[in-house]
Amino acid sequence: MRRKIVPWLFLAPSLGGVILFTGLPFLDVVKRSFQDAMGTRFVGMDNYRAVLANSAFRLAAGNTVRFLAVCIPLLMTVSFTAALLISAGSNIGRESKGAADTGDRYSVFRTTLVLPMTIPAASMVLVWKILLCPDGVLNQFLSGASGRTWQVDWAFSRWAFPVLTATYLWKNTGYDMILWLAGLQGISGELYEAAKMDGAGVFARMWYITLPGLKGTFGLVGILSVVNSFRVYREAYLLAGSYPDASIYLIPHLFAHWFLDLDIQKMTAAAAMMTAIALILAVIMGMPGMKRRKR
Amino acid sequence: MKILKDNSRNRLMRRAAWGLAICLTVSAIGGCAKKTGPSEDSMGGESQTEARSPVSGQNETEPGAMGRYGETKVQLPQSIEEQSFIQFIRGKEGGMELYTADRVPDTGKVLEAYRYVYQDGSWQQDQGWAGNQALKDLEIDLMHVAFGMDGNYYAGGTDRDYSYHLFRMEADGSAQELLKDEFKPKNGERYGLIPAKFEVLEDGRIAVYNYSEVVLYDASGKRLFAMAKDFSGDTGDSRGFCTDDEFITVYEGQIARYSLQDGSIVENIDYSGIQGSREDVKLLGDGSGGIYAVNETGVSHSNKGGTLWEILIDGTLNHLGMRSLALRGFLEGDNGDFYGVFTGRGTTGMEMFHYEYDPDLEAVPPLTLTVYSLEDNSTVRQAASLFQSEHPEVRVEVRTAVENGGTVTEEMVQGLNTELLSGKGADILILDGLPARSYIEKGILMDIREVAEEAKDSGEMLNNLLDGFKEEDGAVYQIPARAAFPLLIGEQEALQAYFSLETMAKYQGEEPLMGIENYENLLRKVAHLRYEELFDQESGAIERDKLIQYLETVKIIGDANGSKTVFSEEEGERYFVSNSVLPNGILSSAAEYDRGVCSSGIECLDGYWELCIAAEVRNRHPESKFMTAGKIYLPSVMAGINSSAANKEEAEQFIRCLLSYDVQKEDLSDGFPVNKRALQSWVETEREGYSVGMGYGDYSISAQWPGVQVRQEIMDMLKELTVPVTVDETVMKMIVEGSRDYYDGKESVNQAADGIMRKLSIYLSE
Repeated sequence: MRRKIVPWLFLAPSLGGVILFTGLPFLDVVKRSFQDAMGTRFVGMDNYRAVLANSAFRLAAGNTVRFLAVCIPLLMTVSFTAALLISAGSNIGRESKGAADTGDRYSVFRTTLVLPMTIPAASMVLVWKILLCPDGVLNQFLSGASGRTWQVDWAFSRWAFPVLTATYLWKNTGYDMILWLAGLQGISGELYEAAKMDGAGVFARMWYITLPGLKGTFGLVGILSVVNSFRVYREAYLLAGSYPDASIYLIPHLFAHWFLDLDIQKMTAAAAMMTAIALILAVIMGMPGMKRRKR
Repeated sequence: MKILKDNSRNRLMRRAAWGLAICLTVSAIGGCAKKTGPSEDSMGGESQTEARSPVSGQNETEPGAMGRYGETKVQLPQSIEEQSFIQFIRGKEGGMELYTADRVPDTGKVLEAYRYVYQDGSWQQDQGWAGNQALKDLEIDLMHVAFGMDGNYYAGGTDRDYSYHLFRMEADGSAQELLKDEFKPKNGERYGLIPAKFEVLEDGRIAVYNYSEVVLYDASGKRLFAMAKDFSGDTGDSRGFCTDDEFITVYEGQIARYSLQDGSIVENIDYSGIQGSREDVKLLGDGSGGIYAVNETGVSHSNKGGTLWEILIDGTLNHLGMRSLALRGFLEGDNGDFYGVFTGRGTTGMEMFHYEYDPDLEAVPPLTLTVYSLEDNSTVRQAASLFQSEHPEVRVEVRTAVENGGTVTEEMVQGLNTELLSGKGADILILDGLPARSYIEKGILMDIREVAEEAKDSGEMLNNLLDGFKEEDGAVYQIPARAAFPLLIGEQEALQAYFSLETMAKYQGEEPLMGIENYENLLRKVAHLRYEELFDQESGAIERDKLIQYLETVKIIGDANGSKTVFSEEEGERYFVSNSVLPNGILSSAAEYDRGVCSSGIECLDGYWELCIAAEVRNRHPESKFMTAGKIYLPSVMAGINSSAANKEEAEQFIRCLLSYDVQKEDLSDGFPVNKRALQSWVETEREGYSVGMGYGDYSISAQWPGVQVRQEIMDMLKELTVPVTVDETVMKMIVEGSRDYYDGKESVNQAADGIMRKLSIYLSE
């Protein structure tokens, strides 16, 4: 009994905070999604119908899904690859030159990849703008390399989506890499040694040891990547303003405009739907870890 | 044994942890709880700092907090009505003295100066004052009078050559000039120094207030040292005073206390405790080393050696906060009371008020009416002051999102929306810059048709300016308190070009239709002038074909006059243009028409001040005419009532006050009145001696206050305007940003229109 209570006691402060500051307000959001803008009249499913019929919502939701579909796998792959390289490099170094030397060399890579996390979004976007504006560094480089004049407004044209994707990857790769590295360190080195002695190659070790050992981390990285992807609005807004190119018009853009116009009924209905979808996604992403724990 | 010891230590640690957790929880809950006991600060007038910032929606103050400074009007002699203010000082034996003058209307030259003394509760003219005659004999225009700490009177003024002279006025009527050489023009300068003020110390030393320093001279006129102060070009600068041994002023954002022994700063006092204007603040001593700071927010006091400022008199509750008045002189009375002399801004005539502590007045009026606006507005402030003086039981708290010069951001509107959603927010919303249409649709605004109908039925309003805000069902949710309109000037042929986009594009005069400016202004200007033709007035949308026609028309106008998206510094100097942008894009351009660089000029008239140049240009070009741009006008100070307001009745009364003659008659440079009687009073107002001038390069123009016929003509135009223009800023920004490449020649009009329409369709579908 005591063993069952103690973990809950540790959880209580944060759980209490989440219930108080997120859970209960969200219940209000759900309630208001069935009411008119000022919360004075019950309107049934009208708000949901209005939101689903709203072309701006469909565009924003489509873009958000597209962004998730492109960025999450890309981010997880890139960060996983970086983690593997650093982990492998560090192991090789440790075997050949000693731990101290390896630590110095590979910490440079780790720091370089994690550094974007520490840079404030506003500063980062300023740099991106300098790089990507019509007279920016990228256009000048391309003009110099190709011999013709490049004046593409990367952030405000059809290139806006790749630009935002690159921004997201640049910002979040380091963070996810750290999570992967933590997961990799949790896999016993003896397993790899034993596999090597049994003649397992690099890909076999990856398939039979590394990937199964990272199932829990996969769920965690996936969920956090999805969560972080919703924060990309900040970069999108700073980079291209309230009404960016249609390809990077995301749900938070729409929410910000709805809030300015006090369309709370639409916001709450859309938020309820988005949360339901996010929960489903989170459950799907978290499933591998849950299955492993059950075993 | 060791295990036992560890267990007991662990138990102890656990208990300590539990104890700490309980303490933390209790203190957190206790910290959040509302105090129910009496406020420790509720001690009469000194409690006002706390009472100044009631939380939104909190309308009743704690009972029991009594005592505050009340304001009563002091009757001035009738003869003062036409005289202008010169000085308000304490003279011999501490008596209050008021110096005034009759002036020549055009030149401002002093004809006669007068001294009034306060005796037995009333002001009497001092018939025996010899100063007037002495100064007349010296041919000096009186500017300053001071009673020195040495017991002598001093006077200063300018001669015919506008050179300043300072005199010690002897009792027998003679005058002895002091610091003769100090005010003479220095090498190569045309004029000498005219000080803002001077003071004379007990030992005869003289402190002369210059623009950014105060110079101390000894009794023989030898310069001792200078003490720096914040710059002021005001000839009546009162941001400083001398005591026996100290000089106190505002310097580098702080209040500096200088030693008069060596001119060194002995103390810097934090200024942040004083609210309101720093430029117009008056500082005066309390006789014991403390300081009073007086401005439109009231009177604050700090003791010597203290760091805190207590608000003695809340200026928002009386005439100190009234925007139509300028505080010219302020003195402490004998019993902790105060006297203030005010003049109208831009008008003659004085008013005096007495501020006396009344223990029977509630410290803060029991009812708080809140008014919210994104930017500060003088008419709202004026109405707030007047409303409070008429309703002593109500405190009007005007909340603005940005201070002067600040930028309105989306976050500010979101902050307001959060309040409104929770059923709180201000009682009255000034809707300029806010999503009024959305508020109406969501039921945020109260139907104030009764107030509107009552105002219109009174026959006192310009109903044509109010009718545009009537909804289809007859409801009224917003009423403008001010209005401006674009006035076109030019010959008939050019003016007819403004009838449509097509005629604008086809216009082929000798000169371009409009003067050179940046494309953003041009776009904004045409959008406002052709508002009816361009936009759907319900949704603010624009059709693609119309958008293309609009962009092309602006391009044709711009190509003809040399407009660009961005001007270089060199181009700016050559063409007298800038890259700055006005929300409605209407830069004053009557002078451009006068210079002959374009066929017509436009002025955005928000008062008769703006008319001076245009009227003079029309005088210079008898073939030219004035014309309105269709029937459009630009409403402002749009007032609405929050449907969740706690004080709906008072809010309605406030709007009535806003539309009343007493508020509307004041010209606060923020638009014409919507009150017909007030507008008529503007028409009848003469401002003799007022002149305005401008020039660049070889061109210059100066103008007088427009004649009554022109003023009447403008009033007649205002009576015909029926279409309020409120261009959606989001749409405007999309058009400006989306067309930049087109005007820079980087893309076609179709590409620009496609880009704009893509964004616009998202915006409209939201």
